[in-house]
Amino acid sequence: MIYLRRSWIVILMLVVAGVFLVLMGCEPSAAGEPVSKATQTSRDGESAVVASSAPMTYTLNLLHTNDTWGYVDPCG
Amino acid sequence: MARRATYVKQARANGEILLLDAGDSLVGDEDPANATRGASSIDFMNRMGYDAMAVGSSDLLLGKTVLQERRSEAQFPFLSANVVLSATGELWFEPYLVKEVGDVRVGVLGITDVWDVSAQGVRVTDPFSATAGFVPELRGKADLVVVLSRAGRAVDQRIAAEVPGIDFIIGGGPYDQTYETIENTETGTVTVQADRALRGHAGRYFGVFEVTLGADKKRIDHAWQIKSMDPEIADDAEIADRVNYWRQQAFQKG
Repeated sequence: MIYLRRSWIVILMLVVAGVFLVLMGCEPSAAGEPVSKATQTSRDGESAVVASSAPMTYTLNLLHTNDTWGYVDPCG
Repeated sequence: MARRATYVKQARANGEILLLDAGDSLVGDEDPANATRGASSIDFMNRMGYDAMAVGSSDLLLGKTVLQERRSEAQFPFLSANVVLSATGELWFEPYLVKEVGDVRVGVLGITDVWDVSAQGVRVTDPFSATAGFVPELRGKADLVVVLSRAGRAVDQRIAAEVPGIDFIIGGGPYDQTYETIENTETGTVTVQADRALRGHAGRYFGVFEVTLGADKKRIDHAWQIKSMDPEIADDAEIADRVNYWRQQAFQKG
């Protein structure tokens, strides 16, 4: 009897914890997904779009030359 | 040149790139560039998809009329914040470009080395003052600020130390290449030079910055390397054909 009462208390605590997490804006994470996702707002024409899977970083390459003198065949 | 085109195509296939030149790349001491007064150089740069070029003093020495012709042929802007028309005192070229690369706004400012080109009807003003004057304005429009500089290493280092708001200075001129980046600890500005103006040597190298920005689009990391256009890189067929075409043009002019 005591064992059954403790089980109900544990289940009740889990339900309360779940409600609390939902109220805090957290979602249970699916397998393989990060617990929190970065979000970023971007403009698409006139409408603002929230991209939940936006990257946390941007990478770009700056390729540059200088003093090429218009050479077509430097050093063979 | 044909290897350079192959390298650019490969880089473009792998991600977002900005293709820049820090000046003195129209003419030198060889044909077809000299015989065609830089027309061959512009053709190659157009076909490779250059985004901007800084104006160097040797470019100015082509003369106002010829350089204006080259400028009208170019599908990318000539940049200089310190070349003014003698008659009016107005800037001849656009001082900077703001280009969106993916989601990142990159601001590129060009400055020219001081040289007496008064015979061409233009004047080169102080590159340090020009940079200090334009960078705050450019910083407000761009996530990343790059200075394409012909001003020389001493001026570049002074700019790096005294003008805040610049991410990278890409330099040119008759100086040793910088195989390591030089970062000013006060401003965070990074200075490099990929190639060196030397007979038989010019145009052999690409400088390649891989830049990482955070979600707030502020620079958080960079890696830089000098890439040599060695024979292992195959010729691009289109540019190889154009090289032959321009060689024939130069031969006929000669």
